[in-house]
Amino acid sequence: MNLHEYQAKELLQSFHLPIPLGVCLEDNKASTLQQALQVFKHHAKVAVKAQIHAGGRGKGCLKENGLPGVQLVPLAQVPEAVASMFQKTLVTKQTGPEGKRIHKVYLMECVAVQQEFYCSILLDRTQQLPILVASPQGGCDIEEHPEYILTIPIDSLLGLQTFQARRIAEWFQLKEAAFSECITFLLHLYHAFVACDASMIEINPLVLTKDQHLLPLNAKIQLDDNARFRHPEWDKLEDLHEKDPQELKAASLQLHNYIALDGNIACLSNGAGLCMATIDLMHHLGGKIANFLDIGDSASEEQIEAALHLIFNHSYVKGVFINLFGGTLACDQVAKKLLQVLPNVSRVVPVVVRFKGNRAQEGKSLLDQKQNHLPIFVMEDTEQAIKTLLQKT
Amino acid sequence: MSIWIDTSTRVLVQGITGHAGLFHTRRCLDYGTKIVAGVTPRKGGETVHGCIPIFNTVAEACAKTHPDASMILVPAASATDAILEAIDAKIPLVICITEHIPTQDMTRIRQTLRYSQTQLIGANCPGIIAPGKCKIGIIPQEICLEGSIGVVSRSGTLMFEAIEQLTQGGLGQSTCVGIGGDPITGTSYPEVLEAFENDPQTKGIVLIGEIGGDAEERAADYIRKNIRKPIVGFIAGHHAPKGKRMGHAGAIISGHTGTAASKIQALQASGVKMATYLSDIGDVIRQTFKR
Repeated sequence: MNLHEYQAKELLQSFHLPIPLGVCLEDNKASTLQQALQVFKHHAKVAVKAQIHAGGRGKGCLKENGLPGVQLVPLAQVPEAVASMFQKTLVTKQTGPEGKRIHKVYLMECVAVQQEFYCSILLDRTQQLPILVASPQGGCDIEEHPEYILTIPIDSLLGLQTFQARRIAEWFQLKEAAFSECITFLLHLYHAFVACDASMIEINPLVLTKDQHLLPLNAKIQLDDNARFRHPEWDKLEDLHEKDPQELKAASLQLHNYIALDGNIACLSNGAGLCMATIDLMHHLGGKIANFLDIGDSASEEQIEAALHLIFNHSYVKGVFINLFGGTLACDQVAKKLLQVLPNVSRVVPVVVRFKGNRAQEGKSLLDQKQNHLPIFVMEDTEQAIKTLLQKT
Repeated sequence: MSIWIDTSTRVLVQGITGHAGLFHTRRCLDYGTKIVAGVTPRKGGETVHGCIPIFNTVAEACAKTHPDASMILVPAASATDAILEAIDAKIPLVICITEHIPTQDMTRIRQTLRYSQTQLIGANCPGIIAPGKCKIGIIPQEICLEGSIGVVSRSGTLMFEAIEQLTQGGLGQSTCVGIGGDPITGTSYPEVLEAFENDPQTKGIVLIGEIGGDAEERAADYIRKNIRKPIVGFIAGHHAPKGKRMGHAGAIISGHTGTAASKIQALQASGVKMATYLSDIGDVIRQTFKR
């Protein structure tokens, strides 16, 4: 799960990290704005920042008026800048051409900056450990200066040690109070990373202010969905606007591995690998997948039923391919549900089924008995199955 | 000889009384696996499937029944604890089927494993089978045939596909190992490849991979330096959209690393014969191994 900048900063603050003065506007009402402006009454300039789950906001462009997603404006012009963003669509290099709609705007104090740094903590698959990544060249395009990037692996049983944080402070060439501040900052940051079950925390830029203090001007946090069971507080952090409506619906039905794509053939499998390999073969044979739905190998009857309703209910779906290799999942259970669901869907489209593994024979027999009045085709081979489906659609 | 398990392997099941625990214990017993005990807290003293004793703790089960391996089928919220309990009891081989374990937990488990006597397979994996001898996990045994090909895979369902295509082509398997699809796993390709290279029963190897991470690239490096036996490979995810999470938390493409193209190139450069599409695996396997 991704957090917005304002949420990330609130989280950091709760772990004793310093953050710039800021207020998040959840609507564009005059009263909300007036209250927020009170907070900044002693500031000449304010940063107005669109809250979307994508980077490159400052260089991004609002579709409706061409303005950027981060605007530094005099206090008096804040209402105008806020109005230019609310409910508008921001296109950045990370959003794709369709852009993302802005539902929240964050106001932040403008800070006099002496130097910009970069730091992040994330999980490194190669070393199988958390790593701390730092560069004294913060801001944009840090990857273009690899010689400035310092990477420190962290022993996950011991946590980040002071000597490691000190190496970063040296790397940043900080002096006196800022040097100690940096060490404390990194130790608290690692604590936040562990306590929040984050998969990534990125501070870019981390700045040294003109008055020699460290402040995270921007923060990005990604939380590990697998840890959700021990973080009930995450429910209120989720921004439903940020999700594809179909994916959201799938998630509400406890189908967490649903991804909408742009083709017209729906594909349902019981493993991510099989699903990806099916998509590859489909592309090779000239078909286009409408969605990726991995129901997992231990789906309940309710989940199977929900999955079937979900894929049949799209008007753009012209055919359905059910490709299962059951380990725990019983193929006949899916067959039974398919025979129940199919007669009741609004539009019946051809369904090609391939069953392997657990109770595959039982599943095939069930479908063989019934298929004469329903467009269900049982196939043995994935390639043949896809070819058949492409002919029927 | 198979790798890591055989007819004498004594198996403990953690989470034996759950829905999946009961079902897969039954399937393993039917295959001839020696399941000697189960663990479910607060159900010690009971039995399942007529004869398998349940204990409250792994320590107690080990003292009374001396298992060589443990199969973990507990819910995700207790899986980290179950793995650590098995490591603490010094069980040599631990197979964790459970998926959705928090990734930071896995980093701590990895560090704990370094100072332990345990080999962990998984989590989020289908387990291991030595056809005709022993099965620990959820691999459908009906598709397996005893023989001389070793199979290793990150994806469960794709491993089943490969096994079936092998069996249909008359090629049996020595051992099949599902290492799991998570970003951080107990066992990676090199450990399995090394065991296959040293196993006299294994004459050839099938390696199944998928996009994300650099496990396949590192496997290619290991193969070039250490493996003499012929290998057939397959990678899934050519058409996965960038940055989208495709089911496995590990399968995220970031930048230019972790793409299907980079993995295929690395494996081919190490002499691995690649099957391009799912339905070609059988053909490439027959061409490579039936000589």
